[in-house]
Amino acid sequence: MAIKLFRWRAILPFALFLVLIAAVWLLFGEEFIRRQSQDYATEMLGAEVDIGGLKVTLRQSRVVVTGLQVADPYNRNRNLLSAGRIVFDLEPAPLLEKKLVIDQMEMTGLQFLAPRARPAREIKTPGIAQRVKAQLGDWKQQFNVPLLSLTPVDTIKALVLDPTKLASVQAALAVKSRADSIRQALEASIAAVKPGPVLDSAKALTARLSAANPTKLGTQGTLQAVADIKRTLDQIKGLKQQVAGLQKSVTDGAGTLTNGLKDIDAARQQDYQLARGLLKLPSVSAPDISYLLFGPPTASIFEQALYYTTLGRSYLPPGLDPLRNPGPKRLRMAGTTIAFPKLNAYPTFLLRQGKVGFQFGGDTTGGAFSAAVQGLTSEPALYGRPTVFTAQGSLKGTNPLTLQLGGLLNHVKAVPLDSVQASVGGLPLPAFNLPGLPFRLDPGRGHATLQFALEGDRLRGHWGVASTNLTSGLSDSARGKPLDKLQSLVGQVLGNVKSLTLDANISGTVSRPSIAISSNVGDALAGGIRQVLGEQVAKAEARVKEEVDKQISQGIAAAQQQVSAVTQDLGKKVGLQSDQINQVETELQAQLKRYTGGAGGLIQLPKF
Amino acid sequence: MLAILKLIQSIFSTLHSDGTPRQVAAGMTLGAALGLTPLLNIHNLVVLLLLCVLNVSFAGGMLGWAFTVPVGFALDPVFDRIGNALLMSPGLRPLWTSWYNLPGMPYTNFNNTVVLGSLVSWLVLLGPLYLLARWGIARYRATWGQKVMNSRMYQVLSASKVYNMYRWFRPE
Repeated sequence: MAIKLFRWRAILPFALFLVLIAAVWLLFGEEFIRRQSQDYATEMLGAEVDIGGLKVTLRQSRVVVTGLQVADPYNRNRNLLSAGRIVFDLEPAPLLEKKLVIDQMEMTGLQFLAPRARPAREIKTPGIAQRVKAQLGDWKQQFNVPLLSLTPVDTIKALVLDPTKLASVQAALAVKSRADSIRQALEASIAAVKPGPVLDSAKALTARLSAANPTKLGTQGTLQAVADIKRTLDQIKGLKQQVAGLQKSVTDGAGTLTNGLKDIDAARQQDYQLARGLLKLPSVSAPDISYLLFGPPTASIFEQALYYTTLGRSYLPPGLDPLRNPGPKRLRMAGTTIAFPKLNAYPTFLLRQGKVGFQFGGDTTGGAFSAAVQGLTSEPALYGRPTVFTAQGSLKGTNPLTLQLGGLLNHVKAVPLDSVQASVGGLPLPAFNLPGLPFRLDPGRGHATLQFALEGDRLRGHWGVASTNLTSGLSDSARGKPLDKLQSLVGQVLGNVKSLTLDANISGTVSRPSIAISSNVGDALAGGIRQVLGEQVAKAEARVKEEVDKQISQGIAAAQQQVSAVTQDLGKKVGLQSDQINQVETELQAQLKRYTGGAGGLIQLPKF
Repeated sequence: MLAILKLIQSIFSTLHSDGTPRQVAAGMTLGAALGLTPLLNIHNLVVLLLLCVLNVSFAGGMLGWAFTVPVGFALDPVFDRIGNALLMSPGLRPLWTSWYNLPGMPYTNFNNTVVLGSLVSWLVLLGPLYLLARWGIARYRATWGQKVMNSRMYQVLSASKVYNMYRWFRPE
């Protein structure tokens, strides 16, 4: 009996199975999408994202999200933002290609930096956000901001320096050793010249020709004499070239060693700093004090700006190369999901236009703030235009607030440019402890500005804070503890400062950034410390210099001696050789003139 | 519990009498896709449809699935490598790019390294798996089959009423 290929009666249970799947999807589909979106966003941002509810209306291609909370990756006790309701109007056709193109987005009830009901969980799953975090690492640590030291100068007893640790001693040893090797090399070169035989032969020729009378030698004899002179002059010319080479080597060697001596001077300044650090002398320079006071928060601000721009670059990469993302979470290995963008096709994600209404913090109501974003896409090269976002608004009343924000993510051109400018007035600025000091500053409400740009690898930015109601006091940890004289002075100075102006600038590259900070608090503190301790600090610094100079003087003297030996002794030797050669050459030239004059100018001589 | 009982019943029925060794082997080979590749993917719905409508042993498919699940887990790193090599191959990039931008196609998750690697591996192993399964079933029936059928455990299992549910899927 032939076996049938199909078993049609099993179609019914299969159809029932499909109906079951559809029913499950209808019942739990939205919940599934909500959880998936939550997980994906959490992984994407590297911070916990919670979605309260999600509703899909297929007929209108609309998704409504409620109760969105995005935790701050840098502070798990507050939300970076939370939104009451977000409406996404999707374009249906790209959904068939598993692509999300949002025509319009409206977000209402958005709040920034509101405290969380419970701390967000720490995200450790490997994702792009975690990779960016790891890549940046402790980026701000490279600024290496030491604590402001207020050790009283009168407690400084002794300075113990280990000469082997001093940079100038190391530099002097290096110069000495370099001078030795240059000297040996040059002496060998001088010895290799061996001018003796040539000079002796030239002198003998001069003596012989000066004893003879050119008129009695005849034409043949005169020609022979001239030929002898010419040959010897050629040899002398060769010698002169060798000696000129030697002189150049001596000059170059002297230049190298002189630069080495300059390095020693630079190293000496480092040693002064090192010794100064060992004594923990209080700084009296205003920029230094501003850097010590405001360096850590400034570095944190720029680090966060850098984190978000780097994250943006990871999710919005330039070009059309395949994009690799971790696969979906499942019991089996997730693998990697690769997107293959194509010109003239939809990008995997595009938000054409988004409108946002929002509030600041948890204590303001009725905020007339609005923001807009245009052209946010996962494949900027396909969309062909930069992402632009803006926000503005103001609040009136007892605590007026103003906001202006603009930003650009241009990943369309070869060198990506990300920039943001923000200005917030009336913002409650956070109180903070002064690093290394037992004091706390509360700037109250003030005006903050931030400009940040990352073009390729180059950074530039400015962070400014201005407040006119600065208050200061003891930090919590310092309450009940006695203050020394210098700390009391700092307390007095801070008490007299009623406003805060801070200007911080960042420049350089991501791997080699530099920050410069100025502030009125730094100026006031520097002035106060200088007034009280200026003389003592100057004396202590002089002592530091004296001690360092004592430790390094021997090594530097030896290096200088070695350098002068090279530049002077060898210079003299080469100069002596040169003089001898010149003298012999002059005598030979005289004989040549005498003999060519004797031939009545008939002999045409080559020019030397 | 019911599911386990059903599975055991189907395994024994399959091994003993439900269908020819060819039908059982074909079912097992199709069922291997469910075990070797990540389950929740559209291609597995197609495999399930084939298991239902083709006159192969459905229980054989379940048996193939059960056997290959641990193998799939163990070989995931290999599938990941295979899939990665295929997806990143410059020669195949135009194909993947056109598929990725075709309506519906991205929902197959073909662009996931583990999905593609495991699916391609299963397709490559179709022939050998079928031959191996057919030889194994024939060998079992010729040697151990009768002893197991006479065992008390088998009698108890086959008397269970839920066994009837499988009649819909028995090969004809």
